[in-house]
Amino acid sequence: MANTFTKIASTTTSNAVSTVVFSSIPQTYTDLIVLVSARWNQNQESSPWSSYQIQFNGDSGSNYGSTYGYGLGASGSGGARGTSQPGTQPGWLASSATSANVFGNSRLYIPNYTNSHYKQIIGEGHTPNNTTTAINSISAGSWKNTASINSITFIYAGAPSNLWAAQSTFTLYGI
Amino acid sequence: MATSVPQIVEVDCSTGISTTRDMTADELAAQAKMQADQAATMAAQQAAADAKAAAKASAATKLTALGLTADEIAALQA
Repeated sequence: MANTFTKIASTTTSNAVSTVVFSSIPQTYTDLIVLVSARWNQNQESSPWSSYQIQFNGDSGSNYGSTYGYGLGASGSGGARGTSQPGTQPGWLASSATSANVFGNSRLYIPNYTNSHYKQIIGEGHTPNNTTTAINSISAGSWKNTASINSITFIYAGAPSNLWAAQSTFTLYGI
Repeated sequence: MATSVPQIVEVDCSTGISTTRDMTADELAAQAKMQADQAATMAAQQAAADAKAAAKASAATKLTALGLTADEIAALQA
């Protein structure tokens, strides 16, 4: 068993894009970790922060679920649950309504990504702000599929095009 | 006026090479379907929430008519 993170791949967007994909993920690790530093180019959810979704192996069907909770600056906390979604929602990131140049951070933990069981995803998100709307979120998600994960897609199913802002960074690690 | 095609960044983990390219017709179609499905899901969730709120308000009105106080109704809804 590996006992430390190994960086598999990383990318930083040079311009706004709709989708980011890690493909041909090696099947030689036990778990995967993804670190995201990103900002949305738009204000899709009419707030300084917005959720995003991840999909596995190009599956855009309604085969994902998420349960999440958040702490939100001025208005306390909340949470929700979703089933049969086109992607699991691992956290919230900064939208275009956030203060200029603020990026959100998110961390995903995907244990046992090569086994033959349904897959689980644990997500964290944090979007700092210069006002009272900083948000921290946690999420437990699932993908109802037994296939080994060989690609991860970062997307928001309901969003218009070129959502991810330039200089958004996605880094994949194996453990 | 030229229409910009949505772009995708694909990172091939076997080579470490990142490629930014226009989305293909199939990818655009899949994205459009996801957007439509998401919009339908959100509309259905909003309709369900609206119906629940309306039923709650209606129930409170009927309980008031029966003589319950606002505190008593609130206690029932807690």
